[in-house]
Amino acid sequence: MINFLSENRAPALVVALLVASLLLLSYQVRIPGAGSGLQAVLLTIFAPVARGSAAVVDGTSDTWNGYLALRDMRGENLALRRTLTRLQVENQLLSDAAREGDRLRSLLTLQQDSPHPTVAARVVALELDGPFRVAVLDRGRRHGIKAGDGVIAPSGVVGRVTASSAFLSKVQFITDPSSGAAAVVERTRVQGMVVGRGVNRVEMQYVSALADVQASDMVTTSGLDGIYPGGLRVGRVVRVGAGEGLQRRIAIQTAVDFSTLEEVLILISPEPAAPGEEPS
Amino acid sequence: MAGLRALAAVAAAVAATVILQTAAPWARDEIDVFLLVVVYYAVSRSRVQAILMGAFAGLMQDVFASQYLGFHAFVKIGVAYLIGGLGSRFMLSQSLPQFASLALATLLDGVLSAVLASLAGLPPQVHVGALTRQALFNGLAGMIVFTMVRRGLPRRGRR
Repeated sequence: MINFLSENRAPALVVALLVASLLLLSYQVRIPGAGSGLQAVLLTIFAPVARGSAAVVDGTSDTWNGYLALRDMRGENLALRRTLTRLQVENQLLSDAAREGDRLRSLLTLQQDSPHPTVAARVVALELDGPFRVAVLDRGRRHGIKAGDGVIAPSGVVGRVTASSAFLSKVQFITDPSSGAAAVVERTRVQGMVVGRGVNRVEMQYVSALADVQASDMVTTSGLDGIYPGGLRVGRVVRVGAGEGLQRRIAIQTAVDFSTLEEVLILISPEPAAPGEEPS
Repeated sequence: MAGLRALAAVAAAVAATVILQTAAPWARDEIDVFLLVVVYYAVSRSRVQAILMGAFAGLMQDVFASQYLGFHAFVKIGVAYLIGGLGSRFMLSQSLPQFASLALATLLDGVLSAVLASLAGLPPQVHVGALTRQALFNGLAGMIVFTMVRRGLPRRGRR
């Protein structure tokens, strides 16, 4: 047996690791939140790398912008041309800065309007292409964030924190297939559950076939799930389809455009630490 | 020493993922940095080292890009084993064969992900156009990165 294993190290190792991965995967599918402790530990280990990289990008960007802004002009004729070029570049940079300012202003307004304590965070990693819809934020347990906290943007609901380390948090978007949130149709107060259905799409389920729901109706959170407060925008109904039995399925375009998500607010819940948190 | 190199490679992949997200979001969905690390190990190291790197890099990718730990680890282990098998039979030290390995690894990654997603009850995401584009981008990015690493690191023979 030992001879066989030593002669076939690679196949034996690959089988063992594949089985281990499958067991880990099935354990987490069966028991939601089971892997978040290990995720938090790995996030903690690699947090300096992630935060350092984001800081390097910011620093480089600032230096480059400063260089453009302070560049000297030589010769009057050339100066006019260069001034024009520089102004065009600056115009682009200022437009970008203005857009960022607008985003941050709306985030600040949302933060001030929110009845819950909130923490603003920046997205440092985003996954929208595979079977999962998740992001990593640059704020963590040190900022009061814990697993289960809701995450919002000025345009609507983003998702919830599933794991947090000291300086980073992982967010599951409402568009993730395994997410869920209690929701209500704003116009008729019809209740249901929204689950993720891909990029910028969610589906409202458990809605009676007799319920009054129409395309372009706004869907908001109902607050019944205890994660998101009521009244936050989820998205607009784009299609009302037939469901199973006496229920119908409602396709919703999310209010948040996840592909351009850069800054978010985390709603700090007063509950005690969730079991998925990293042990201190 | 090999463990430290592996740790540094995965740390570099994490850093590159964050830099892509903040500096070049358009490239975020096109380039799988963790896959580049796994393929580099598969074509330049022993098969066992490639498989172990597949597990480690996949697990880290799970932390940053998956809801469940083990999903990308499973996929990357499979990719490392298959590309490592090619690496032990063919000469993959030139740019063109490496481009082909990276493109093939991207397709394998996409197919394995879709199969595993459907087994786990998740909607499988296979878009032929997107996968082809990713294969091209990963191939090009990998060729550049592998050349830089070859020039930056002392030459090592395949074990």
